Amino acid sequence: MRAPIALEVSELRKEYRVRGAGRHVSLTAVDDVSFSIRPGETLALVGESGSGKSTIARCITRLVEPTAGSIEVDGKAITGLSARRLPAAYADLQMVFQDPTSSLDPRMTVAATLDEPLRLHTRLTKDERRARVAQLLADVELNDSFLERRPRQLSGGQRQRLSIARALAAEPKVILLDEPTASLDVSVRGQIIRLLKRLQREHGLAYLFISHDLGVVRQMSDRVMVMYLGGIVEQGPTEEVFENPIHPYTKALLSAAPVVEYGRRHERLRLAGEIPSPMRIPAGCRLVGRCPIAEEACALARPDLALVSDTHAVACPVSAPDTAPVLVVPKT
Amino acid sequence: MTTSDDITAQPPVLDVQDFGGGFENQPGHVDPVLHGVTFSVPKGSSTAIVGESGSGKSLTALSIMGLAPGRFRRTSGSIHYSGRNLTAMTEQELRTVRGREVSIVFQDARSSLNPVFTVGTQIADVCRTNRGVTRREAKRQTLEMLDLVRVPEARRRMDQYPHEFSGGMAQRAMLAMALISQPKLLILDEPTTGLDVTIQADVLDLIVDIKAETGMTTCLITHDLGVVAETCDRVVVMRGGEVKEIGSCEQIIDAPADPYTQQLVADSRMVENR
Repeated sequence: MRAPIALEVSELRKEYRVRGAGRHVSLTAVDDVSFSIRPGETLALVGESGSGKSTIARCITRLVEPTAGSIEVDGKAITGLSARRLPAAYADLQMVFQDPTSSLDPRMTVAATLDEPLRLHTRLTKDERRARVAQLLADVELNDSFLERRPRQLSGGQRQRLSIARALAAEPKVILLDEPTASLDVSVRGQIIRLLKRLQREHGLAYLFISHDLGVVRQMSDRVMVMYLGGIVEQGPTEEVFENPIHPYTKALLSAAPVVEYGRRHERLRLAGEIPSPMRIPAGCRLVGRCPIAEEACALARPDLALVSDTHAVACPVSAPDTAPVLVVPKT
Repeated sequence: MTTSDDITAQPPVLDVQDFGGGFENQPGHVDPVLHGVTFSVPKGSSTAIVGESGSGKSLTALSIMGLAPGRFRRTSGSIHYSGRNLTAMTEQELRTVRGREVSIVFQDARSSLNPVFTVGTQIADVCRTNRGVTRREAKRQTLEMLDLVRVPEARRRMDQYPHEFSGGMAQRAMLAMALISQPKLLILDEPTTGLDVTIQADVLDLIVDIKAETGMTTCLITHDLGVVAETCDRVVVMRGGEVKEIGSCEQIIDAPADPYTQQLVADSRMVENR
């Protein structure tokens, strides 16, 4: 029997209607994206501005309404839930955001911040909740001395620990981590990564990890999905994709990351120009116009993801010619 | 503090000696922030000042430009630029240095640009103020500078407003603005932080190329050792308002002597892309 799926996203699509030059045009921010995450697994979503990774996060949390597609958390559909029934679904799906300073209520003490989700999502008594708050703090390596402090009395790293504890309170199946280390110093970044990994082991959590920091992605994730202009261009096991990137965009992205090594002016694969406006996505392959290996056919038809190994899929027929397109990418 | 041999025997363009200071949060009382900061930037070098938040790296950079916040009080030391004592200069004297001989580029380019003027106008204004050329000549130099920083279709782009520029293009425009007065020293304060990785790599390449072409001296303020490793030849490591270690880039990255630097390199490597 297959292990259960913690988060299943199928053919997710998000279009925006925007006014352009006096008439309404459609902008496709996310274009039929599908993926799933198992308990205890981390899937990283990487891409630059305009790739659609944040829109996916907003759709999953229903901060924006997807245009099409379905999202299931632990087998239960999130899409289509009424606003009244949505909060209950959040018990299984929690979020940690990039900036803990703006995602924590400055007026609430640590104790109150952690008590709120317990009141919303559990039926614990007051004493039980107090015990649970203490345990949550211990889980994120803080202690009782923090209970009466407010966010401004905490360091950046401590604030992020508090955000993580708040996310854990409802005992979710899935945590969406949106750039959780981006605002932290390197010394603190490592601690938070180790903490997230330990919590995942102990609680069997599924993480959807959204980041532009490729070093952190490599440390954190089991699988990685590379996005460009709303579509997936490559996906596979993290080590395999980092060691053997195939899509020209993945190569450009990985080779652009600075490395802490002296005298290694590493080979960069450069793309021409800048990412086009999402209102002017090329009709064929999204990378046409910037890609160094594009052929005539690339501008005509949008390439599908095709398997290059059991688990590694690439949407580039030029880089990976002898592969058959797949409609469903197997779940590792 | 440990010091390695200077990789260059060039006279320093910038010489910061025992520079200390803090914020006067209450009248008559200064909370110290910088403690005896001492380092120099040799002519033609690309020197990095590296540190985490609160290390004092940006405050040091702003002090060089005479742009430290109003509550900042210098309590010790001096900053010399080409033998002239910046800390003893009046505001008027400073203006002959700032923007002409020493330029600075800040982190968030789009907020450094004035939203109501075209990008070309803003760069040309800097040119006319600092070099006293005609409007027409300023425009010609602006175009030349935008070409140099590889803004595509520079003639069209110079008539656009900042909101029409992407983050990477805006940072190139800021570079053009800083370079148009042909400064001898360019200070870059986190110039690529907040940019996408591929854009960051393009801007860093550009900085390295322009430096090679003009022989300008650069001083890069950053928290990112990866950026340092790829662009700099000398490194000053700061923490808590103090200089912890100074060395060649190779020595700092491959054989850091100070325990803090060792930790910083290790932490940066732990999450790096390899």
